[in-house]
Amino acid sequence: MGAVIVIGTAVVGILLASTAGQLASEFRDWTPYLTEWLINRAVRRLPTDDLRARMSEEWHEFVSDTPGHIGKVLRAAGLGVAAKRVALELSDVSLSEHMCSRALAMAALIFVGPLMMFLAIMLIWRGGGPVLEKSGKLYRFRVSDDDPLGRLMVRSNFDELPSLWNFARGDTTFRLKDVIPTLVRLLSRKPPNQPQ
Amino acid sequence: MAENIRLTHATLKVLCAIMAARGSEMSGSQVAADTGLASGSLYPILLRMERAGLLKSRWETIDPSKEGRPRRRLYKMTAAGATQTRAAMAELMPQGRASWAQ
Repeated sequence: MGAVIVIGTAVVGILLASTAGQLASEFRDWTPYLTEWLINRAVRRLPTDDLRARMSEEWHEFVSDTPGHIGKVLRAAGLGVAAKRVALELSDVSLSEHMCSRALAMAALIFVGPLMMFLAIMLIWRGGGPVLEKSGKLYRFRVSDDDPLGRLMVRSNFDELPSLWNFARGDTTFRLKDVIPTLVRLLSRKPPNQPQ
Repeated sequence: MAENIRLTHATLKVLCAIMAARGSEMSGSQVAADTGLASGSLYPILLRMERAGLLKSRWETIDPSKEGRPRRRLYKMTAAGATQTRAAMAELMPQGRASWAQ
């Protein structure tokens, strides 16, 4: 019994050692592609072409100057956060506003998540195909004007609920100073049948 | 004209690292190595300081194909940046422990 355990352990050890070597070699080969993809993904988040061109070159150098394959990948992965913060830095949105917007959007997503799931299932059931589309940077439900549900969703603005995901991710910021005038206007609007 | 901006701890770390280079230029990776800051903190600071006129930057004049690496973006302290950094450090260290702050 003892011999079986020793032989089994040795076989597993050899298998693991040979697989680890193969995996390490694969990782080394894939590092340039992976870092390139991560840098490009970060650069795409920047707001202007000039800045994208500059930071692309600068970040390629930043990553290439890092020793080790794992170090390069980790550094390239961190550039996503750098790009988000640089974009925020160049906007007139403060970090506190941005974080507040993300927190509100996450809370709203939890609250309206079941409704969004229901609407997505209804859209699949009625029309099939992808239920989301992108309008600029923001996600929205893909609705058809021929469908009564689609018309209702557009009228009620429910088709724009998926954009909460963009707010929660921090792609865009929900600003109270922009929203309050709209809310005031909507709340002060009289119902159509109310006498003037 | 340089702006007077709020200097946070991380910002001062970056400015001090570049100031300690005594007029030499530093790339982002060199500043990261000296300060230990991650790119997510470092690059917003470098860009903010450059926009505020405390730092200036230029591309390294090399041929990337010959060198086998991309050009470095080199950062250097401006006179206004040096003045603001000295003032901030003097506030933090009134005894003047930083030799370059004299």
